Amino acid sequence: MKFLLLSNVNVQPLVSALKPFEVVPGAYNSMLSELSIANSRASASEISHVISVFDSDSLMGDAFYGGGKPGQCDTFLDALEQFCSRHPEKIVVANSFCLSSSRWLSFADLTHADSIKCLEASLNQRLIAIAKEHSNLVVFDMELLFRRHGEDALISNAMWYAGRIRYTARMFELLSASIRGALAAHAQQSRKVLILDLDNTLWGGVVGELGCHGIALGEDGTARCYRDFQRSLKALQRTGILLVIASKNNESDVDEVFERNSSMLLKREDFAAVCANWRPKVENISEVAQLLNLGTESFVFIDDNPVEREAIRKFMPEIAVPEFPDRVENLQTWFVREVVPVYFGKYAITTEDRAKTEQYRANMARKKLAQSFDLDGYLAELGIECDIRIDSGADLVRAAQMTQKTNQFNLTTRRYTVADLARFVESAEHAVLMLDYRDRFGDEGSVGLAILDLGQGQIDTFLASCRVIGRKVEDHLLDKAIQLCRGRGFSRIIGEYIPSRKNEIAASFYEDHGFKLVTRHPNGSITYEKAIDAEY
Amino acid sequence: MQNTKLQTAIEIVVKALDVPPDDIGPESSIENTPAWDSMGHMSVCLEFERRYGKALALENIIATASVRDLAAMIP
Repeated sequence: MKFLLLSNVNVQPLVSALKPFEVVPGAYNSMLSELSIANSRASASEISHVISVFDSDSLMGDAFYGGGKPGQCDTFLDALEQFCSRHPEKIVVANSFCLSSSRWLSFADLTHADSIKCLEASLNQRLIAIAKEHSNLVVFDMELLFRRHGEDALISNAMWYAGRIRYTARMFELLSASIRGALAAHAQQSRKVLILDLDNTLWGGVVGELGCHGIALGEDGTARCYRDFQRSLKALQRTGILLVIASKNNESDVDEVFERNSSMLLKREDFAAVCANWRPKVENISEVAQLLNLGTESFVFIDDNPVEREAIRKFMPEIAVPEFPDRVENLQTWFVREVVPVYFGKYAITTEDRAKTEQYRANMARKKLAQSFDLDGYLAELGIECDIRIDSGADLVRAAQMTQKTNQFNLTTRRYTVADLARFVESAEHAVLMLDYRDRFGDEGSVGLAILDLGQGQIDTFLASCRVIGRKVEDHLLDKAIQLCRGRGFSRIIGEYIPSRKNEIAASFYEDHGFKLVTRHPNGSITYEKAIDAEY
Repeated sequence: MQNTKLQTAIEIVVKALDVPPDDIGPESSIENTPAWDSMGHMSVCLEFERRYGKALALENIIATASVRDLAAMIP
């Protein structure tokens, strides 16, 4: 990975602020030429990321002073769009347009034809349209930094006139954090599960002592702090994060709150699991992890009790345990600023994300059913329907997400970006197969993915979400893969298993499906082959 | 000039210019330090601002040209 840093002003301090990333600074004010010229340094194959941090006031030129159209801004947007489309293999990061608060038209700026506030909005509109069109463009909202920390703390007039550096040391730190966060979110490195305590966390007071109507949860004062916190949790849950309760309480007391306290904004069905008992939280969390089929390294733990936090840090160090705010009035702000972007930052939210809790809950209902049926009877009872799409452009984000996140039933664990997937979909030598699943308990959405190398008759990637493992849906996907290879005239199909720390569950997949072992490589990976003549 | 202030000024310059500590001494200045070019000078000023959480005036940025100048600005 190598970053090229571009700007229209001096942003040299970002080079060290972005360490340990390897960042090469572009020449001063070379942003427009680097993005526009075909053989520029930005186009070189060694550059994986282009970071474009620009000063909007300067880019506006005379237009900022009411003198004409912002020609350079349009040139920049054109160049950015063309660069993103010429280089789908590169990630491009850019800030949103954000003008300083100097307004030459003073109060008239809002309504005047030359209003720069309106101009800023329309420039951002176009920038966002480009980002929607090109998934390799990552835009972060620079205005948020100014709103939160204040322009006076972030812009330095002295540095500007001394050396064309627009920002203060503090701003460079914030810019670096924004770029890192946006990149992590774009690479889909967010955690998946939030474990929550109840007493003095989701509501004020101890329900076991105060009863379901005595706890602080409602419209005024402290009670409203907790209600607003619940509101943010609900918003997070809608982005695909699973909420789980781990609380030391009598289950019946907690049930009562859910059933009788109308201020309880989060309902039972908003949680993937509710553990209210007197066992150590570590035990409850391990059990939930098994039930959900998710590794605890994707968990975050919020609890007001420092003893509980310490226990989790000690016994489950892979779980993220943020400190709890001292003052209840800061609960919501703390959560939205310091927890969500750090652990649950997302750049794109898919339809699957929105329905995630429902899917996991349905899965638990299936598990209960599984206890009373034999496998085939159980599968028949489920009424499974699978649907496979080939090379659909609409699946790119979800497909990339699956290669990044699926660890268990993943034969080769190759991680791909949206840009990689776009290449596979467009190439005649590759096929991307996406499997949708539904049964009588619900719609799981896209849960199986195969990427075929049709030049070699080889399965490059084969994975299924852990939510559907054990329901033979992978068989449907394999049948389709074989069919496509046969269609290309191959008389055999090649499969590959690359062992990882987590994909043991998939180790015997090819042998179970009639493949023969061909080569066992020194690095542990195994190549398999299966004849696929017409009789198959 | 207090020794501790000189020492702190040296640390600021070493960190900002990313050079070995032995390269910078109390007599180092823009004149005799190759890495301390115009860009390096901005890094030195930014590092000073970062450390003291205080913004330098343009005049200070322009007038400062040595470790001793920098030490004189340390509060």
